[in-house]
Amino acid sequence: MTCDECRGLLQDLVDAELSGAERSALEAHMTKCVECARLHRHLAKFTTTMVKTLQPLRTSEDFAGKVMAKFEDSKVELLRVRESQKKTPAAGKTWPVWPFAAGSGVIILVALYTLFSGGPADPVATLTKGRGATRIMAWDGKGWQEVKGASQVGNGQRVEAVETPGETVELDCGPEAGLKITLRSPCKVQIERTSRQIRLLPLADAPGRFFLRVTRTGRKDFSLKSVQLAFNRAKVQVALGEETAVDVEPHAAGDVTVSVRQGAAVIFNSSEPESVAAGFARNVPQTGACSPAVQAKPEVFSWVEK
Amino acid sequence: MSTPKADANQPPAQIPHLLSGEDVDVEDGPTDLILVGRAKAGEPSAFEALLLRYKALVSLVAYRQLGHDEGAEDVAQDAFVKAFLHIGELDDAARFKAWLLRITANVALDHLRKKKHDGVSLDQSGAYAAAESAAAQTIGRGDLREAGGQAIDSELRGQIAEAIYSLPEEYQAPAAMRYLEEVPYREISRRLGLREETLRKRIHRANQMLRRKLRKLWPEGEEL
Repeated sequence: MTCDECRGLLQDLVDAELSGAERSALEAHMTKCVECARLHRHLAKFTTTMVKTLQPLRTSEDFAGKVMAKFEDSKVELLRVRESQKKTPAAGKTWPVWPFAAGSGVIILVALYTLFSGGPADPVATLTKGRGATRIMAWDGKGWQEVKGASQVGNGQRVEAVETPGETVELDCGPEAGLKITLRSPCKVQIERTSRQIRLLPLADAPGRFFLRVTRTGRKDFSLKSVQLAFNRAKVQVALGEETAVDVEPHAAGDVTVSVRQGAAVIFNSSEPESVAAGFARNVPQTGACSPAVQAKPEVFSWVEK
Repeated sequence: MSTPKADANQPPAQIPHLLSGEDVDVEDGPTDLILVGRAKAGEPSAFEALLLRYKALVSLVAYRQLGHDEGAEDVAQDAFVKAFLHIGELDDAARFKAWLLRITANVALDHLRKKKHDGVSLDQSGAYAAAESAAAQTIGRGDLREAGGQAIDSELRGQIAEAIYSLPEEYQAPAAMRYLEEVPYREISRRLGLREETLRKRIHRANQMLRRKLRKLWPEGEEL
């Protein structure tokens, strides 16, 4: 064995990675070669000192088990927090049950969030109660308050309206074009508006099924590429004009997120047997095929009888 | 977290081999890209494989950031938990290791801040302070020697951790596993998905680089 061959294997010898024959050959060489023997001693002590010095940093035997247990706990906690964030403070507590008892009651909850992220805290829209609505409730951060007549709707405030059973009510977006989403559901529905999304939160006592139909309404030059529903983290692509069923579990088991990627105003309208309608006049950021004509803005929301 | 998109159609890059002058070898085991993909799909074995692959390195980084042993294992555990919880947000799965180490550093910083907030001085939590305190409270010469020895060990540990962390990326995990956990070559190659011959070359090269980096501590001519 040459010195080069020996030195190529010294680290393996130190790390106890050599076969018996290889080890014997190496040791035989080192009995004759002082320099290789010295290098071996150095490597052995270097490695031993490294290992000994780092020993306090060794993880415990059940390190992987502890991490996986913490991971599972954290997942459950994360889900719990997310679920609790989805629930509205008033869900199922302060609401009268008559709309459900009537069997055909229609409740519209319209939640208006900051229309532009980072926007001012000033009111961003005005809501006027139309003849179709029997009651409009606003969430002021502590509880639901009935809205009398026209009301300023501020960032983060929520507004709801309870409609007369069987009636169709539409939140008109004024002259703006938009989408019409047909919603047929036994659930009480909350609609939230963020800058790009409208969320429908099922709050019903019983499991149910949403039937959504998304159609264009108003201006013909309005263009929409796609609408996507996200429910229980599963995404459902909705084709324009087709009714799509989404199964819903009771009490905020999930939410339906209608992502309007390109669009301005959105109108929710109902079909039989119950009808829900809501709309937003504020434009969402314009991209792609969305017509520039839709960028205009009315910030005044008004309820009108259909 | 936004990271550059990986091209899913391209095989994992072999650039580190080329840069290190190492022979390019065919690698058998799953890459980080594959494991992260499986972990994103919720496959428990993928999480465990990533854990085995990087726990030694994460422990070193936690220690390096904290400056002492105390709490290093907790930080390492929390870093993995945090990474696993948010793995869906990692855009470039091939950068998992860098991402994990960054999370580890952040968790360690949070740990230090919390400790400071709880009224424990960061200096006092260090090994030097522990040694000084032990020296002040003991009279025996042996105790003093032991306390001083602990401080020296702690400093040495810091330098070794730093040296391993400063190795080129592909050598960090093998070196951490070899010197921190004394894992045999075969097991390291299994955990990292590398052929044994590739792994052996990396260990040898890492050893050379570490000896060079730590030369001041252990000159080759001197007995340790």
